[in-house]
Amino acid sequence: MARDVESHIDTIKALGEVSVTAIKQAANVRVLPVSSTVIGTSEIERQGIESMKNVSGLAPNFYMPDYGSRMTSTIYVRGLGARIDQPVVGLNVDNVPFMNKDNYDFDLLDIERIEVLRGPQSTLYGRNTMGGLINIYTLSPLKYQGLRAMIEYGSGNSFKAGVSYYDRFNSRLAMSWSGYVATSDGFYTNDYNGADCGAEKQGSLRWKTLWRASDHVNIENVAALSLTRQRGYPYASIDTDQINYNDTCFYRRAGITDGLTVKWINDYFTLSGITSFQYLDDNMTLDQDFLPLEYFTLTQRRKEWALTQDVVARGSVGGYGWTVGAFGFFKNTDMSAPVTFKEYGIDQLIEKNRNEANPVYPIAWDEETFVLGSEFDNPVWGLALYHQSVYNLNRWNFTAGIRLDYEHAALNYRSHCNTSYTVYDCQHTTQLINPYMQKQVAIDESGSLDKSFVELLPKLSVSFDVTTRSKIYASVAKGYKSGGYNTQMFSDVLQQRIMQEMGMSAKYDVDDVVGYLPEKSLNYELGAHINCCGGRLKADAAVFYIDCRDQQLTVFPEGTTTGRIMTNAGRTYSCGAEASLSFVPDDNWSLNASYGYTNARFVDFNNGKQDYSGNRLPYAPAHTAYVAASYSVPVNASWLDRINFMVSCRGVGDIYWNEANEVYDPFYTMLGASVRFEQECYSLDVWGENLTNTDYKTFYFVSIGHGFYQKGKPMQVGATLRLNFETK
Amino acid sequence: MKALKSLMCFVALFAMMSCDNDDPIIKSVIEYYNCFNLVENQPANTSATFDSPHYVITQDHVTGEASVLMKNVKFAERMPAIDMLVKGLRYSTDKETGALLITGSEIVPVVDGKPYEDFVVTTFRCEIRDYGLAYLPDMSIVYTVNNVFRVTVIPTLTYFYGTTTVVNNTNQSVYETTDPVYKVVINPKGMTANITLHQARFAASMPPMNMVFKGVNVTPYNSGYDLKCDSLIPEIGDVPYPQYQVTNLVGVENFLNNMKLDFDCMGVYSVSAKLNSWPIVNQE
Repeated sequence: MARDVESHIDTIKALGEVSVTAIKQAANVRVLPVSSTVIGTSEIERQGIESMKNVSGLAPNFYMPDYGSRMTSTIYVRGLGARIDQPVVGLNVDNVPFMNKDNYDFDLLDIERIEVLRGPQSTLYGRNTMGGLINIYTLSPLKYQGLRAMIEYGSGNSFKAGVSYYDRFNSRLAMSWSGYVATSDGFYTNDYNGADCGAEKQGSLRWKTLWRASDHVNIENVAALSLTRQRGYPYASIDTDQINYNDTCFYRRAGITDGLTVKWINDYFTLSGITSFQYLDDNMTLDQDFLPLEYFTLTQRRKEWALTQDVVARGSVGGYGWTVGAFGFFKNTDMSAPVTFKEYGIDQLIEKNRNEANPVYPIAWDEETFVLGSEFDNPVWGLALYHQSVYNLNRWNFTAGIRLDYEHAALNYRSHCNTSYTVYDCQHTTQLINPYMQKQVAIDESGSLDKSFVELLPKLSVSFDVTTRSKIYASVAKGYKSGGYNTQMFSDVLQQRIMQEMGMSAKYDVDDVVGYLPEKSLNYELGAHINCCGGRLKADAAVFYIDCRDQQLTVFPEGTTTGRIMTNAGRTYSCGAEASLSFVPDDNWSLNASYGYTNARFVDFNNGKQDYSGNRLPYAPAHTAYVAASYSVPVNASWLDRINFMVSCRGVGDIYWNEANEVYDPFYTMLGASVRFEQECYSLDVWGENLTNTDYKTFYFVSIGHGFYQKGKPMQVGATLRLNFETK
Repeated sequence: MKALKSLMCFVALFAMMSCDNDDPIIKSVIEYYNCFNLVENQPANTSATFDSPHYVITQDHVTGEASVLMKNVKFAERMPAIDMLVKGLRYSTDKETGALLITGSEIVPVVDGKPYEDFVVTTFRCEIRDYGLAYLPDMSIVYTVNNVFRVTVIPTLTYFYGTTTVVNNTNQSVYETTDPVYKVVINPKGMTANITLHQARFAASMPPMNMVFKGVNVTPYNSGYDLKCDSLIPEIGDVPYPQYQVTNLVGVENFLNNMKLDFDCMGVYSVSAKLNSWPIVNQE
């Protein structure tokens, strides 16, 4: 629709004039030699996009499955992803970099634009952007003034409501305030107790200030508070297809962010400073076996805060443009993660194995439960310098960039366990009536580890302007994912210690078990951005090859079968193609489509037990597909401007669920549709998702020999009313 | 193998009369007290063992001489234990092995500050291998007194390392590993030994274990000692494991610093270990 094209163009122009956004790159990412997807306001509203999960599948080769909780959400781009610790995709919201991927999944009101950049962005954005970068920009009060509200009700007793007020006090100062709440009973029931185990409540507040301090200085500050409480983790047993576990599972999170951007513009260059503060306080409590049995539970409590500072200067002289910047950050995490072993777990995992080896002197634990305690303090800081040059020579554009990145990670840990068991003499009886000896297990160990990493991150690209609005490009860039410490491995460390107390000992070094080095990749890409037919047709295409080395994996050390360690043991490659199309043939029709294909495999991965070389990388889909057609019927009544009908189809798959490629789900599709009634001051969407009620999995894993999965959401229907009272 | 030195105790090797790092070392001292004496009465063709001797070997780098203070030594049952100082020993380096040799002959020791002519150290030989500040010495001491008593000093605590080969008798598969460390602790009073196998494993799929074989019979010789036990129940974590019964244990240790140890386990595994020794000269 013409409205869509105009709104998209208006957005870009408006941003270039008055907003401080797009600090490090051009406001319109489609002019850059990078594979990108830009989702504008109207698409965001029509698709009901409030979080990045809703973008999954819209952008080719971008997949963010919905499983577990808002902490466990993982992003996969071109086959690269990470379930734990460091992410492969960076996230900026209004230029504020989010430092922890566990905080990536949240709902956001009034998103104006989402950019998904695929391929390494490490030269300009540094750590953990090996797979790409997501930029989210929210509506600016300098561009829009008025009152906006939304209310939505849908399947699963899901309710959302938000209100935002945008005011421009004078030509230089504007503010906006928004509040949002959402609740849902979810779509899953725990058969053990009948509880809604996908239920969620969340709320957020946001305050945005834009101040044109002078003709040369623009200042923007965005402060946000978000609260989330989920009864999550609706994992069903693959044996019974039932969600059935007896201990509490929930996730609670409180987050505070504040980002201050100051931009100074003069005739020769712009100088920007982005300062951010982030605080995260969360609690993940799990029935770790997800069975109706007393195995073990985990309660992970974390308090984390981070400061970042980015200083960027950009300028141009003739056909030469340059960017120079410096970045620094400090992040500190305090965490406790005790695992409570319960009666059945002690019996099955400890006593049974031990007594099979020695039935004449069996053991019995003296307590029904005991705790493996772990506390960590994890400070990380880093500094980086970067530069990028762009040279335009007629229709050729050459880009070269380099980043020097230094990072230091430390871990102060304490692992402790205080319990006991009794050895019985059963030489002459099978009953536990003759104690032989009592053994105390008193472990209290502390230590400190630290690592430093230095990375040089270059990139080169060349593009050719086929027309004034179409280009082809080639690029090569290096990306990297930080090293650090996997605190989840401390349960393995404590297990080794307890086995030592029982006379079974394996040699291990704590640093070897929990520490890992950076992962690196080289991305080679050819692509094109095409605009034609007066802007009515836009197409993007790219082919890529990624060589990923020193992949962070858990393995069993050579010659052992117990005690995993973190290591940089893997090498993978990912190659594929992606394409997207947007066609607005006339004022009524609009067509959008995207497709991504990724062939991501292990080149080299032996975990000490099995060799997975040649297997597909798990969890990342081979294909993503999206197609949507919408037709708008003008009504031109005073209370109704138009009715818009949209049909869409998303497809994802094949997905392999483990490194051995033994479990997989084929490609599946989901149908969506909506009818939108639109007028200047309101819009009412009646929508349906997964109208085909496709059965699919979003996650699969194995725990203590049992397979579990999370089912995707079933068919959902609902209605969303948006009110828009813009002041002129 | 070198890494195993990290398991060993450090040597009490210190410089006397020199506190400044830049000053040359004037004297070097080694103390050896985890040991017992095997005393052979050569004319009578009898032998006896006496525990808890203590040897302090001093090298004087100024004079080029060495001395040995032998504490709590005796050569016959009815003889009281004495401390005697043997001075005037020479030290040199064995050109073939690089070992430090301390030798002497026909030396009248000093007891209570006076020459003690009742016992003449007819011959004395102490060999120290890998001697140096960074290394744990591998040491042997043999001496004769009055040409009658031949004394061999045998360590009571020794760590052995090397290659352990395991044959699974049910399928004849062979598993080889260099991970296990063998600790032999000899009780000279009862002439038995406890052998601890650290990181013992008889198959790749087995978790490593610390197994203790208690009450192994020890027969000392002037060239080493034998270990023997027909059957024992090993302990793991201080708990007997009858299923892992050990049978036919035979070990031969010689003072060329190697040992061969063979035994069967569970009636399934035949274990053969070829090892080298690092005797511990100080208390753990």
